[in-house]
Amino acid sequence: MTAADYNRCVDLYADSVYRFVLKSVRDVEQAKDIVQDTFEKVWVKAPDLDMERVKSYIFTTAYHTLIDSIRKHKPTADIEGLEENQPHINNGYSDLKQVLQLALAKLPAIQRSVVLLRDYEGYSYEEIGEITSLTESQVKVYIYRARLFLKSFIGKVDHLV
Amino acid sequence: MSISIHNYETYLIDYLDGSLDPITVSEVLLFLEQHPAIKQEFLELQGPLFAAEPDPQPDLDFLKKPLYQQAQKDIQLLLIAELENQITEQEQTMLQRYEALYPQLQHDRHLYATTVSEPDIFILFPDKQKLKKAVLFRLFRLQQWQAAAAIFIAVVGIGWFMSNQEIGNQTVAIQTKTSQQVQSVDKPKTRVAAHLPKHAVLPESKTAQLPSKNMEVKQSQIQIIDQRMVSSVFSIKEPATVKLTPVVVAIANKPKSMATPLATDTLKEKHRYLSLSELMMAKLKETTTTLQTKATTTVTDAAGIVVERDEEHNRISRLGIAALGFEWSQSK
Repeated sequence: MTAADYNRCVDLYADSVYRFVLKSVRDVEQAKDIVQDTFEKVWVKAPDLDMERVKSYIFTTAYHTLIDSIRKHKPTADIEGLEENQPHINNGYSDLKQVLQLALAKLPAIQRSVVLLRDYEGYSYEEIGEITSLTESQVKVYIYRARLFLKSFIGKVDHLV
Repeated sequence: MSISIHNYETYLIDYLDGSLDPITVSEVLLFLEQHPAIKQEFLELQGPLFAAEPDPQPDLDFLKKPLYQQAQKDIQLLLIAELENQITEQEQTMLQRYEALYPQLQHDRHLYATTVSEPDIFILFPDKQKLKKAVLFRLFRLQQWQAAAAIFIAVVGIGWFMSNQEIGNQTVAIQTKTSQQVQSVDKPKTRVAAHLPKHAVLPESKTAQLPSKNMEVKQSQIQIIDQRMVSSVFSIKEPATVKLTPVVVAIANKPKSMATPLATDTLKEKHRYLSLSELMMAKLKETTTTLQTKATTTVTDAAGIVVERDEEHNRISRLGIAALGFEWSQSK
Protein backbone atom coordinates (compact mmCIF):
# COMPACT_ATOMS: atom_id res chain seq x y z
CA MET A 1 0.00 0.00 0.00
CA THR A 2 1.44 3.35 -1.02
CA ALA A 3 1.23 6.59 0.91
CA ALA A 4 -1.47 7.71 -1.49
CA ASP A 5 -3.41 4.52 -0.78
CA TYR A 6 -2.95 5.10 2.92
CA ASN A 7 -4.34 8.62 2.65
CA ARG A 8 -7.24 7.25 0.66
CA CYS A 9 -7.89 4.83 3.50
CA VAL A 10 -7.99 7.76 5.89
CA ASP A 11 -10.62 9.38 3.70
CA LEU A 12 -12.57 6.18 3.33
CA TYR A 13 -12.46 4.69 6.80
CA ALA A 14 -11.47 7.27 9.41
CA ASP A 15 -15.05 8.44 9.91
CA SER A 16 -16.55 4.98 10.20
CA VAL A 17 -13.79 3.81 12.56
CA TYR A 18 -14.33 6.95 14.61
CA ARG A 19 -18.08 6.34 14.82
CA PHE A 20 -17.50 2.75 15.86
CA VAL A 21 -14.95 3.70 18.52
CA LEU A 22 -16.96 6.65 19.77
CA LYS A 23 -20.08 4.53 20.30
CA SER A 24 -17.95 2.05 22.17
CA VAL A 25 -16.02 4.33 24.52
CA ARG A 26 -18.47 7.26 24.64
CA ASP A 27 -15.64 9.70 25.14
CA VAL A 28 -14.69 12.08 22.33
CA GLU A 29 -11.06 12.62 23.25
CA GLN A 30 -10.46 8.98 23.98
CA ALA A 31 -12.09 8.05 20.67
CA LYS A 32 -9.91 10.51 18.77
CA ASP A 33 -6.77 9.11 20.43
CA ILE A 34 -7.78 5.58 19.56
CA VAL A 35 -8.41 6.46 15.92
CA GLN A 36 -5.08 8.27 15.74
CA ASP A 37 -3.23 5.33 17.32
CA THR A 38 -5.00 2.97 14.97
CA PHE A 39 -3.94 4.80 11.86
CA GLU A 40 -0.40 5.19 13.16
CA LYS A 41 -0.24 1.41 13.52
CA VAL A 42 -1.70 1.00 10.05
CA TRP A 43 0.90 3.39 8.65
CA VAL A 44 3.71 1.36 10.19
CA LYS A 45 2.34 -1.75 8.49
CA ALA A 46 1.35 0.07 5.29
CA PRO A 47 4.04 -1.41 3.00
CA ASP A 48 2.84 -4.94 3.85
CA LEU A 49 -0.88 -4.26 3.44
CA ASP A 50 -3.00 -4.54 0.36
CA MET A 51 -6.05 -2.44 -0.30
CA GLU A 52 -8.43 -5.38 -0.51
CA ARG A 53 -8.04 -6.39 3.10
CA VAL A 54 -7.02 -3.10 4.59
CA LYS A 55 -10.46 -2.19 5.90
CA SER A 56 -10.62 -5.36 7.93
CA TYR A 57 -7.10 -4.72 9.19
CA ILE A 58 -7.99 -1.16 10.22
CA PHE A 59 -11.03 -2.33 12.17
CA THR A 60 -9.07 -5.16 13.78
CA THR A 61 -6.41 -2.70 14.85
CA ALA A 62 -9.02 -0.23 16.03
CA TYR A 63 -10.79 -2.91 18.05
CA HIS A 64 -7.64 -4.05 19.84
CA THR A 65 -6.52 -0.48 20.43
CA LEU A 66 -9.99 0.19 21.79
CA ILE A 67 -9.79 -2.75 24.18
CA ASP A 68 -6.37 -1.64 25.41
CA SER A 69 -7.65 1.87 25.90
CA ILE A 70 -10.75 0.73 27.79
CA ARG A 71 -8.53 -1.22 30.15
CA LYS A 72 -6.50 1.90 30.83
CA HIS A 73 -9.32 4.44 31.02
CA LYS A 74 -12.73 4.74 32.46
CA PRO A 75 -15.39 6.60 30.50
CA THR A 76 -15.38 10.22 31.53
CA ALA A 77 -17.67 12.00 29.13
CA ASP A 78 -21.13 10.88 28.30
CA ILE A 79 -22.01 10.52 24.67
CA GLU A 80 -25.28 12.30 25.29
CA GLY A 81 -23.28 15.48 25.82
CA LEU A 82 -21.66 14.95 22.46
CA GLU A 83 -24.90 14.24 20.70
CA GLU A 84 -26.36 17.49 21.88
CA ASN A 85 -23.73 19.21 19.76
CA GLN A 86 -24.46 17.17 16.70
CA PRO A 87 -26.91 18.36 14.03
CA HIS A 88 -30.32 17.08 14.97
CA ILE A 89 -32.41 15.49 12.27
CA ASN A 90 -36.06 15.36 13.08
CA ASN A 91 -37.08 12.35 11.08
CA GLY A 92 -39.62 10.98 13.52
CA TYR A 93 -37.30 8.28 14.78
CA SER A 94 -35.06 10.42 16.93
CA ASP A 95 -36.72 9.21 20.14
CA LEU A 96 -36.31 5.63 19.15
CA LYS A 97 -32.71 6.27 18.21
CA GLN A 98 -32.08 7.79 21.60
CA VAL A 99 -33.60 4.78 23.30
CA LEU A 100 -31.42 2.53 21.20
CA GLN A 101 -28.36 4.57 22.13
CA LEU A 102 -29.25 4.19 25.79
CA ALA A 103 -29.71 0.48 25.37
CA LEU A 104 -26.42 0.15 23.48
CA ALA A 105 -24.64 1.99 26.26
CA LYS A 106 -25.89 -0.57 28.73
CA LEU A 107 -24.54 -3.53 26.80
CA PRO A 108 -21.30 -5.19 27.88
CA ALA A 109 -18.39 -3.85 25.82
CA ILE A 110 -17.87 -7.03 23.82
CA GLN A 111 -21.54 -7.33 22.89
CA ARG A 112 -21.67 -3.68 21.91
CA SER A 113 -18.61 -4.05 19.70
CA VAL A 114 -19.91 -7.06 17.79
CA VAL A 115 -23.32 -5.46 17.27
CA LEU A 116 -21.76 -2.21 16.03
CA LEU A 117 -19.45 -4.06 13.66
CA ARG A 118 -22.45 -5.98 12.41
CA ASP A 119 -24.81 -3.03 12.05
CA TYR A 120 -22.47 -0.22 11.08
CA GLU A 121 -20.13 -2.11 8.79
CA GLY A 122 -22.21 -5.12 7.80
CA TYR A 123 -19.45 -7.56 8.66
CA SER A 124 -20.22 -11.27 8.62
CA TYR A 125 -19.94 -13.35 11.77
CA GLU A 126 -16.70 -14.78 10.46
CA GLU A 127 -15.21 -11.34 9.79
CA ILE A 128 -16.29 -10.07 13.20
CA GLY A 129 -14.65 -13.15 14.67
CA GLU A 130 -11.39 -12.28 12.92
CA ILE A 131 -11.54 -8.68 14.09
CA THR A 132 -12.38 -9.48 17.71
CA SER A 133 -10.43 -12.73 18.00
CA LEU A 134 -13.59 -14.64 18.82
CA THR A 135 -14.94 -17.82 17.28
CA GLU A 136 -17.91 -17.57 14.95
CA SER A 137 -20.07 -19.32 17.54
CA GLN A 138 -19.08 -16.84 20.22
CA VAL A 139 -19.94 -13.98 17.90
CA LYS A 140 -23.36 -15.54 17.26
CA VAL A 141 -24.01 -15.94 20.97
CA TYR A 142 -22.96 -12.37 21.74
CA ILE A 143 -25.12 -10.99 18.97
CA TYR A 144 -28.06 -13.11 20.11
CA ARG A 145 -27.73 -11.90 23.70
CA ALA A 146 -27.26 -8.32 22.61
CA ARG A 147 -30.34 -8.37 20.36
CA LEU A 148 -32.38 -9.98 23.09
CA PHE A 149 -31.33 -7.31 25.56
CA LEU A 150 -31.86 -4.42 23.14
CA LYS A 151 -35.28 -5.70 22.17
CA SER A 152 -36.24 -6.17 25.78
CA PHE A 153 -34.99 -2.68 26.71
CA ILE A 154 -36.75 -1.00 23.81
CA GLY A 155 -39.87 -3.04 24.52
CA LYS A 156 -40.00 -1.82 28.11
CA VAL A 157 -39.62 1.80 27.06
CA ASP A 158 -42.22 1.15 24.37
CA HIS A 159 -44.68 0.02 27.00
CA LEU A 160 -43.96 3.07 29.14
CA VAL A 161 -44.59 5.34 26.17
CA MET B 1 -92.96 -67.17 49.54
CA SER B 2 -92.82 -63.81 51.22
CA ILE B 3 -89.90 -62.01 52.75
CA SER B 4 -89.26 -62.63 56.48
CA ILE B 5 -86.45 -62.38 58.99
CA HIS B 6 -85.53 -65.96 58.07
CA ASN B 7 -85.03 -65.49 54.40
CA TYR B 8 -84.45 -61.77 53.88
CA GLU B 9 -80.73 -62.27 53.02
CA THR B 10 -81.65 -64.04 49.79
CA TYR B 11 -83.98 -61.22 48.82
CA LEU B 12 -81.44 -58.55 49.67
CA ILE B 13 -78.77 -60.24 47.56
CA ASP B 14 -81.16 -60.54 44.64
CA TYR B 15 -82.08 -56.90 45.19
CA LEU B 16 -78.45 -55.90 45.04
CA ASP B 17 -78.02 -58.00 41.92
CA GLY B 18 -81.04 -56.25 40.41
CA SER B 19 -82.70 -59.55 39.63
CA LEU B 20 -85.95 -58.86 41.48
CA ASP B 21 -89.16 -57.88 39.79
CA PRO B 22 -90.62 -54.51 40.74
CA ILE B 23 -93.24 -55.99 43.06
CA THR B 24 -90.68 -57.95 45.01
CA VAL B 25 -88.43 -54.87 45.15
CA SER B 26 -91.23 -52.91 46.80
CA GLU B 27 -91.73 -55.74 49.28
CA VAL B 28 -87.99 -55.69 50.11
CA LEU B 29 -88.01 -51.93 50.66
CA LEU B 30 -91.11 -52.24 52.87
CA PHE B 31 -89.45 -54.99 54.83
CA LEU B 32 -86.40 -52.83 55.42
CA GLU B 33 -88.53 -49.99 56.66
CA GLN B 34 -90.24 -52.33 59.08
CA HIS B 35 -86.90 -53.66 60.38
CA PRO B 36 -84.54 -50.76 61.02
CA ALA B 37 -81.77 -52.97 62.40
CA ILE B 38 -81.76 -55.01 59.22
CA LYS B 39 -81.88 -51.83 57.13
CA GLN B 40 -78.81 -50.51 58.97
CA GLU B 41 -77.04 -53.80 58.36
CA PHE B 42 -78.08 -53.60 54.71
CA LEU B 43 -76.80 -50.05 54.31
CA GLU B 44 -73.44 -51.03 55.78
CA LEU B 45 -73.31 -53.90 53.38
CA GLN B 46 -74.32 -51.62 50.54
CA GLY B 47 -71.73 -48.89 51.40
CA PRO B 48 -68.51 -50.25 49.98
CA LEU B 49 -70.31 -51.69 47.01
CA PHE B 50 -72.33 -48.67 46.05
CA ALA B 51 -70.21 -45.76 47.25
CA ALA B 52 -70.04 -43.31 44.36
CA GLU B 53 -66.61 -43.40 42.82
CA PRO B 54 -65.21 -40.04 41.67
CA ASP B 55 -65.55 -39.48 37.94
CA PRO B 56 -62.34 -40.20 36.21
CA GLN B 57 -60.43 -36.94 35.45
CA PRO B 58 -57.94 -37.76 32.73
CA ASP B 59 -55.01 -35.35 32.35
CA LEU B 60 -55.76 -33.69 29.02
CA ASP B 61 -53.24 -30.89 29.35
CA PHE B 62 -51.04 -32.63 26.83
CA LEU B 63 -53.64 -31.69 24.26
CA LYS B 64 -53.10 -27.98 24.87
CA LYS B 65 -50.67 -25.94 22.84
CA PRO B 66 -48.01 -23.80 24.48
CA LEU B 67 -48.88 -20.19 25.13
CA TYR B 68 -46.80 -17.46 23.50
CA GLN B 69 -44.70 -16.99 26.62
CA GLN B 70 -43.85 -20.69 26.63
CA ALA B 71 -43.00 -20.75 22.92
CA GLN B 72 -41.20 -17.44 23.08
CA LYS B 73 -37.72 -18.84 23.49
CA ASP B 74 -37.93 -20.68 20.19
CA ILE B 75 -39.59 -17.72 18.52
CA GLN B 76 -36.90 -15.30 19.72
CA LEU B 77 -34.22 -17.50 18.22
CA LEU B 78 -36.05 -17.59 14.91
CA LEU B 79 -36.73 -13.86 14.88
CA ILE B 80 -33.09 -13.03 15.57
CA ALA B 81 -31.98 -15.48 12.90
CA GLU B 82 -34.39 -13.79 10.51
CA LEU B 83 -33.10 -10.33 11.41
CA GLU B 84 -29.52 -11.49 10.93
CA ASN B 85 -30.30 -13.11 7.57
CA GLN B 86 -29.19 -16.41 9.05
CA ILE B 87 -32.52 -18.20 8.88
CA THR B 88 -32.82 -21.48 6.97
CA GLU B 89 -35.80 -22.42 4.81
CA GLN B 90 -36.97 -24.90 7.40
CA GLU B 91 -36.77 -22.30 10.14
CA GLN B 92 -38.57 -19.82 7.93
CA THR B 93 -41.44 -22.27 7.52
CA MET B 94 -41.50 -22.82 11.25
CA LEU B 95 -41.58 -19.10 11.84
CA GLN B 96 -44.50 -18.68 9.44
CA ARG B 97 -46.37 -21.36 11.38
CA TYR B 98 -45.65 -19.57 14.65
CA GLU B 99 -46.77 -16.36 13.01
CA ALA B 100 -50.15 -17.87 12.26
CA LEU B 101 -50.49 -19.26 15.78
CA TYR B 102 -49.22 -16.24 17.68
CA PRO B 103 -50.11 -12.85 16.24
CA GLN B 104 -48.11 -11.27 19.10
CA LEU B 105 -45.02 -12.32 17.21
CA GLN B 106 -45.35 -9.31 14.90
CA HIS B 107 -44.76 -6.93 17.78
CA ASP B 108 -41.55 -8.71 18.72
CA ARG B 109 -40.45 -8.71 15.10
CA HIS B 110 -40.93 -4.95 14.99
CA LEU B 111 -38.96 -4.51 18.21
CA TYR B 112 -36.09 -6.56 16.86
CA ALA B 113 -36.01 -4.43 13.73
CA THR B 114 -35.47 -1.40 15.92
CA THR B 115 -32.38 -2.93 17.52
CA VAL B 116 -30.37 -2.43 14.34
CA SER B 117 -28.13 0.59 14.76
CA GLU B 118 -27.46 2.91 11.89
CA PRO B 119 -24.32 5.00 11.73
CA ASP B 120 -24.80 8.71 12.18
CA ILE B 121 -23.18 10.11 9.05
CA PHE B 122 -22.90 13.51 10.67
CA ILE B 123 -20.35 12.22 13.13
CA LEU B 124 -17.07 12.71 11.31
CA PHE B 125 -13.54 12.35 12.51
CA PRO B 126 -12.44 15.93 13.11
CA ASP B 127 -8.68 15.63 12.58
CA LYS B 128 -8.60 13.59 9.43
CA GLN B 129 -6.01 15.78 7.74
CA LYS B 130 -3.60 15.15 10.62
CA LEU B 131 -3.73 11.45 9.94
CA LYS B 132 -2.59 11.82 6.38
CA LYS B 133 0.98 11.44 5.22
CA ALA B 134 2.84 13.46 2.61
CA VAL B 135 2.56 12.13 -0.90
CA LEU B 136 4.89 13.15 -3.70
CA PHE B 137 2.66 12.25 -6.59
CA ARG B 138 -0.96 11.92 -5.90
CA LEU B 139 -3.09 10.32 -8.53
CA PHE B 140 -6.83 10.47 -8.25
CA ARG B 141 -8.87 7.75 -9.74
CA LEU B 142 -11.89 9.70 -10.70
CA GLN B 143 -14.86 7.88 -12.04
CA GLN B 144 -18.10 8.78 -13.73
CA TRP B 145 -19.81 11.68 -11.95
CA GLN B 146 -16.62 12.51 -10.11
CA ALA B 147 -14.96 12.78 -13.50
CA ALA B 148 -17.74 15.07 -14.68
CA ALA B 149 -17.26 17.26 -11.63
CA ALA B 150 -13.50 17.24 -12.06
CA ILE B 151 -13.79 18.24 -15.71
CA PHE B 152 -16.08 21.07 -14.73
CA ILE B 153 -13.75 22.32 -12.05
CA ALA B 154 -10.76 21.89 -14.36
CA VAL B 155 -12.45 23.99 -17.05
CA VAL B 156 -13.25 26.73 -14.58
CA GLY B 157 -9.75 26.48 -13.15
CA ILE B 158 -8.11 26.82 -16.56
CA GLY B 159 -10.24 29.84 -17.34
CA TRP B 160 -9.47 31.36 -13.99
CA PHE B 161 -5.78 30.68 -14.39
CA MET B 162 -5.70 32.20 -17.84
CA SER B 163 -7.54 35.23 -16.63
CA ASN B 164 -4.78 35.87 -14.14
CA GLN B 165 -1.89 35.62 -16.53
CA GLU B 166 0.39 38.49 -17.28
CA ILE B 167 -1.13 39.80 -20.43
CA GLY B 168 1.47 42.38 -21.26
CA ASN B 169 0.42 44.95 -23.74
CA GLN B 170 -2.53 43.05 -24.98
CA THR B 171 -5.88 44.70 -25.11
CA VAL B 172 -8.36 42.94 -22.92
CA ALA B 173 -12.06 43.15 -23.44
CA ILE B 174 -14.18 42.35 -20.44
CA GLN B 175 -17.88 42.23 -20.50
CA THR B 176 -20.00 42.27 -17.44
CA LYS B 177 -23.35 40.64 -17.49
CA THR B 178 -24.99 43.68 -15.97
CA SER B 179 -23.65 46.43 -18.11
CA GLN B 180 -22.79 44.46 -21.21
CA GLN B 181 -20.35 47.23 -21.91
CA VAL B 182 -17.05 46.50 -23.43
CA GLN B 183 -14.14 48.23 -21.84
CA SER B 184 -11.07 48.37 -23.98
CA VAL B 185 -7.98 49.50 -22.30
CA ASP B 186 -4.35 49.53 -23.27
CA LYS B 187 -2.83 48.17 -20.16
CA PRO B 188 0.92 47.69 -20.09
CA LYS B 189 2.13 45.17 -17.46
CA THR B 190 -1.17 45.24 -15.64
CA ARG B 191 -2.48 42.10 -13.99
CA VAL B 192 -6.14 41.60 -14.76
CA ALA B 193 -8.51 39.73 -12.52
CA ALA B 194 -11.08 38.59 -14.98
CA HIS B 195 -13.30 37.12 -12.33
CA LEU B 196 -13.77 40.62 -10.95
CA PRO B 197 -15.51 42.19 -13.89
CA LYS B 198 -16.21 45.48 -12.19
CA HIS B 199 -12.55 45.83 -11.36
CA ALA B 200 -11.29 44.95 -14.75
CA VAL B 201 -8.67 47.63 -14.71
CA LEU B 202 -6.91 47.97 -11.46
CA PRO B 203 -4.61 50.80 -10.55
CA GLU B 204 -1.00 49.88 -9.98
CA SER B 205 -1.30 50.62 -6.27
CA LYS B 206 -3.92 47.90 -5.82
CA THR B 207 -2.19 45.13 -7.67
CA ALA B 208 -0.28 44.14 -4.54
CA GLN B 209 -3.52 43.17 -2.85
CA LEU B 210 -4.56 40.86 -5.62
CA PRO B 211 -3.21 37.49 -4.49
CA SER B 212 -5.07 37.45 -1.17
CA LYS B 213 -8.14 38.99 -2.72
CA ASN B 214 -7.94 36.50 -5.53
CA MET B 215 -7.87 33.69 -3.01
CA GLU B 216 -10.95 35.01 -1.26
CA VAL B 217 -12.81 35.36 -4.50
CA LYS B 218 -11.64 31.98 -5.62
CA GLN B 219 -12.87 30.44 -2.39
CA SER B 220 -16.26 32.05 -2.80
CA GLN B 221 -16.38 30.95 -6.42
CA ILE B 222 -15.58 27.39 -5.46
CA GLN B 223 -18.33 27.52 -2.87
CA ILE B 224 -20.80 28.78 -5.43
CA ILE B 225 -19.73 26.10 -7.87
CA ASP B 226 -20.08 23.48 -5.15
CA GLN B 227 -23.57 24.67 -4.37
CA ARG B 228 -24.48 24.70 -8.04
CA MET B 229 -23.21 21.20 -8.47
CA VAL B 230 -25.04 19.98 -5.40
CA SER B 231 -28.29 21.46 -6.64
CA SER B 232 -27.53 19.99 -10.05
CA VAL B 233 -27.32 16.54 -8.54
CA PHE B 234 -30.59 17.21 -6.75
CA SER B 235 -32.20 18.30 -9.98
CA ILE B 236 -31.60 14.93 -11.62
CA LYS B 237 -34.80 13.07 -11.12
CA GLU B 238 -33.29 9.62 -11.39
CA PRO B 239 -34.33 7.16 -8.70
CA ALA B 240 -30.70 6.38 -8.02
CA THR B 241 -29.95 9.94 -7.02
CA VAL B 242 -32.80 10.10 -4.53
CA LYS B 243 -30.91 7.75 -2.27
CA LEU B 244 -27.85 9.93 -2.62
CA THR B 245 -29.52 12.84 -0.87
CA PRO B 246 -27.83 12.32 2.52
CA VAL B 247 -24.51 11.95 0.75
CA VAL B 248 -25.00 15.17 -1.14
CA VAL B 249 -25.97 16.94 2.06
CA ALA B 250 -22.80 15.62 3.66
CA ILE B 251 -20.81 16.85 0.69
CA ALA B 252 -22.43 20.26 0.88
CA ASN B 253 -21.47 20.51 4.55
CA LYS B 254 -17.89 19.63 3.90
CA PRO B 255 -15.34 22.21 2.76
CA LYS B 256 -13.62 21.45 -0.55
CA SER B 257 -15.99 18.60 -0.77
CA MET B 258 -15.89 17.97 -4.46
CA ALA B 259 -12.17 17.36 -4.43
CA THR B 260 -12.19 15.08 -1.39
CA PRO B 261 -13.79 11.68 -1.51
CA LEU B 262 -15.89 11.18 1.60
CA ALA B 263 -15.93 8.03 3.63
CA THR B 264 -19.54 7.92 4.60
CA ASP B 265 -21.54 4.81 5.01
CA THR B 266 -24.96 5.94 4.20
CA LEU B 267 -26.97 3.38 2.39
CA LYS B 268 -27.96 0.12 3.88
CA GLU B 269 -28.35 -2.71 1.48
CA LYS B 270 -29.33 -5.63 3.64
CA HIS B 271 -26.44 -5.63 6.04
CA ARG B 272 -23.86 -4.23 3.71
CA TYR B 273 -22.96 -0.60 4.14
CA LEU B 274 -21.19 0.97 1.23
CA SER B 275 -18.58 3.64 1.35
CA LEU B 276 -19.30 6.74 -0.68
CA SER B 277 -17.21 5.76 -3.65
CA GLU B 278 -18.68 2.26 -3.69
CA LEU B 279 -22.13 3.72 -3.32
CA MET B 280 -21.64 6.14 -6.17
CA MET B 281 -20.25 3.41 -8.37
CA ALA B 282 -23.02 0.99 -7.54
CA LYS B 283 -25.74 3.51 -8.16
CA LEU B 284 -24.21 4.96 -11.27
CA LYS B 285 -23.75 1.52 -12.75
CA GLU B 286 -27.47 1.06 -12.46
CA THR B 287 -28.21 3.98 -14.68
CA THR B 288 -25.04 3.68 -16.76
CA THR B 289 -24.46 6.18 -19.47
CA THR B 290 -27.83 7.86 -19.29
CA LEU B 291 -27.24 9.24 -15.86
CA GLN B 292 -23.62 9.98 -16.61
CA THR B 293 -24.50 12.05 -19.65
CA LYS B 294 -27.35 13.65 -17.83
CA ALA B 295 -25.15 14.56 -14.87
CA THR B 296 -22.49 16.12 -17.05
CA THR B 297 -25.03 18.03 -19.11
CA THR B 298 -26.97 19.13 -16.08
CA VAL B 299 -23.91 20.37 -14.26
CA THR B 300 -22.71 22.26 -17.33
CA ASP B 301 -26.16 23.67 -18.01
CA ALA B 302 -26.72 24.62 -14.41
CA ALA B 303 -23.55 26.63 -14.29
CA GLY B 304 -24.10 27.97 -17.80
CA ILE B 305 -20.59 27.24 -18.94
CA VAL B 306 -19.55 28.33 -22.39
CA VAL B 307 -16.02 27.68 -23.56
CA GLU B 308 -14.73 28.74 -26.97
CA ARG B 309 -11.33 27.87 -28.27
CA ASP B 310 -9.09 29.76 -30.59
CA GLU B 311 -7.72 26.92 -32.66
CA GLU B 312 -5.34 29.15 -34.53
CA HIS B 313 -3.49 30.14 -31.41
CA ASN B 314 -4.39 26.96 -29.57
CA ARG B 315 -5.91 28.72 -26.58
CA ILE B 316 -9.21 29.47 -24.97
CA SER B 317 -10.69 32.55 -26.56
CA ARG B 318 -13.88 32.89 -24.55
CA LEU B 319 -15.08 31.59 -21.23
CA GLY B 320 -18.48 32.32 -19.76
CA ILE B 321 -20.01 31.09 -16.51
CA ALA B 322 -23.54 32.37 -16.32
CA ALA B 323 -23.96 31.19 -12.75
CA LEU B 324 -21.24 33.60 -11.65
CA GLY B 325 -22.16 36.37 -14.04
CA PHE B 326 -18.73 35.91 -15.49
CA GLU B 327 -17.77 36.55 -19.06
CA TRP B 328 -14.23 36.64 -20.36
CA SER B 329 -12.92 36.90 -23.86
CA GLN B 330 -9.56 37.51 -25.35
CA SER B 331 -9.34 39.87 -28.24
CA LYS B 332 -7.34 38.75 -31.20
